Amino acid sequence: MRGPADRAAFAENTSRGVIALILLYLVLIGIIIAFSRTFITTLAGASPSAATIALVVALAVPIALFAVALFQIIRLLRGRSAGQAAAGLRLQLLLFFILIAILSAGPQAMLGITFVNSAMGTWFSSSIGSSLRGAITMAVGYQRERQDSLSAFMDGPLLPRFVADFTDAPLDTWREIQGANSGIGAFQIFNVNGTEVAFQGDVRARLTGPQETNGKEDRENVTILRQSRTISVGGKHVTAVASALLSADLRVNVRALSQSLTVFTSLDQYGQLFRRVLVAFFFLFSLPLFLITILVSLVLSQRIISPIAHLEDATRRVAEGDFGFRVLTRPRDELSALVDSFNGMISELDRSRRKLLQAEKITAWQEIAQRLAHEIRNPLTPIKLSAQRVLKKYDDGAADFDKVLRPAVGSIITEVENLERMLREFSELARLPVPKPAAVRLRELLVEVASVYKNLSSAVLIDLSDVSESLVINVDRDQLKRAFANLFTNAIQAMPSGGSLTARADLVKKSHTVFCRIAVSDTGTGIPDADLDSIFDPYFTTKKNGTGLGLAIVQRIVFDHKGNVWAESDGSTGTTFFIDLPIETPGGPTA
Amino acid sequence: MLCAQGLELTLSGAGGPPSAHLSFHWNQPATLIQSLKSGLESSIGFTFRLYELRRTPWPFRGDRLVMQKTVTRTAYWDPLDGTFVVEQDDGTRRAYPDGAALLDAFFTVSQVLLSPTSSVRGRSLYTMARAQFEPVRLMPPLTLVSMVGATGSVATPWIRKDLP
Repeated sequence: MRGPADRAAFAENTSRGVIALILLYLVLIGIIIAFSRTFITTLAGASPSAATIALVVALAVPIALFAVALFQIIRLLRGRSAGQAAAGLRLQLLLFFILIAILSAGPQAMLGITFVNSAMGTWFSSSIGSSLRGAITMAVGYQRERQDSLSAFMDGPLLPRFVADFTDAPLDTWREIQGANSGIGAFQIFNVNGTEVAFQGDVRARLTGPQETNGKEDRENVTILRQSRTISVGGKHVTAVASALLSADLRVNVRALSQSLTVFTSLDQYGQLFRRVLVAFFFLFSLPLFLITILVSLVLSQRIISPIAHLEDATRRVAEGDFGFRVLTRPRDELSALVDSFNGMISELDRSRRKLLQAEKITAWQEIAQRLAHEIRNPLTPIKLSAQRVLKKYDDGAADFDKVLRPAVGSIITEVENLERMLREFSELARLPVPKPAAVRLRELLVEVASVYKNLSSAVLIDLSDVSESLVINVDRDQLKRAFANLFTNAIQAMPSGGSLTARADLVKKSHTVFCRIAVSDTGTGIPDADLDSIFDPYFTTKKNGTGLGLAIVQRIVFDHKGNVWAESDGSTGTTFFIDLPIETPGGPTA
Repeated sequence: MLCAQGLELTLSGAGGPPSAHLSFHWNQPATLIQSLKSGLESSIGFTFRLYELRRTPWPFRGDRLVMQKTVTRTAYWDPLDGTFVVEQDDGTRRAYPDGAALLDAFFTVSQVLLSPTSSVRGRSLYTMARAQFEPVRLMPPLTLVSMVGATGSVATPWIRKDLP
């Protein structure tokens, strides 16, 4: 399982990676914005493969951001489920950022898309297309009309007379020609040799020879339509050329109309697709920003929450007894003052605790020394009295010396044996070694302990059926066996007339730790409420020959296993001792 | 003559400066003509590159680019004269009365002079050429749709021919 320090380091590395990715994307966006005009203009010029590569690159960044954001969100949700410190607050911050991003980007997106749609629908409506086509048709019709008019004049019956008169009276004839067809801008006659005979009208239409007569000629400022006809006048063949001049604006405007029509037709054909691509582009650029918002919120919340989480972790460690733990912080961190105060508090607490422990230890030893002296002094009196009595009888030469000697010496031996037993148990209590845990089947252990007592007291029924045969715990077998032996001894002694002794075991969870709870119950005389708080104190006993160390040893063994022991009794119908032993890992016990 | 993906490259000019002739083959001419008559424009770009073969222990450096020339053309329908017009990037325009003449002129570029500098004359030279054809030439910002391949743009691979 990953520890808080590892989590913090991982989060720090992830934050750096996310920041690098965001910066990379922002640089990319900056470049695109800076060269957006060139980008859009030259897009069509890019080869399809280049466009595909650009598209893949443009998609890769959002996908990468999405993957990172998803990973971070899943981590956050899992952290929240696991009760990770401040995960709920981070989730709230994330939701807040997402909401802000949606509220800021959503209306803009809707507005932008609606604007583009309405602009394309209005500016490039079908009526605009019809107008453009109509204008082009009108321009084409106008030119054709001028051409037809010119042709009609040249093919008309008046032309021979005009040609005949034009040589002699060009100005008058030119006026007549314009009267007959006002669209004619110039009139010119060439003889059979191609030499100009006469010319009237706009000089821009003047030809150097009849060979350039037919069709249309575009010049810089004018478009000239020409029509020629060779006729015989007075037995001579001449070529008459009539010209109509059109403003160059017609050509320029028709080209402009054509280009507008090109744009319109393009929009007509690709407008729908363009809208979709535009929306896709919008999401292509806005989605990463949205994802960046999520990542930024995660990074920021991580930075805000991290010191608090460290403090929470440190508090827990201190509560568990690790007073050497200290929270590290950045020098410029806003919460560094709080962390420094916390570290100072822990140092002070540690010093106080050490002093207290020292004082407790001294007090405990003083108390034990006093109790030990008291317990040793108690048998010394009968020993002394017995010895003095024997000595007196001997000195007096008493006749009943033999009668006195045996009980007195017996009493001395009994008291000495009691002293030995007490000192042995005290020695055991003081010298209990550090537990060496190993996998132990609890049922087997209890059966082994119970077998001794079944032989000693047949009046007591021992029931271990509520202890699972498959339950395995990690304990020091010898120490736990001694603890159960003491409990069983007490239970049997509490039932001089018989009864039942029951043991059961269950798994219970307290906070984040799973415990194996073992309950040893008897149907004996019970323990008065007033004594319940003292039964685990050394040398506390209510039994005539008790040492008062049995339950103290039990408590010491259980505490050395990081467990807890307590007793419950109604004071008359029995007592139950509970032992909670922690299970180190979830896979430790198998029930 | 080399032919790849509808592109033919021919080199000529023995004795004189070499010139290139590039011809692109488009398999949907009727669609193109119809598209032009509907008012759309089409464009094609021919790119020529002249390289000097470089024999070097450092192959990653590649051959030396001696010269590059690009010819870009746009074709459209002129409704006033009822002709197809091909406009080159230098501004010259030519009108073509029918589709066949247009296709021939639009997709072929001839006599592109490959004039190597005197410093590389006599060395091993070769030409690379390719064409980038847009059946429908779009104006910005409509060019966005070309990113998704809607206009059917074609870029031929580079084809190579060694200079004689």
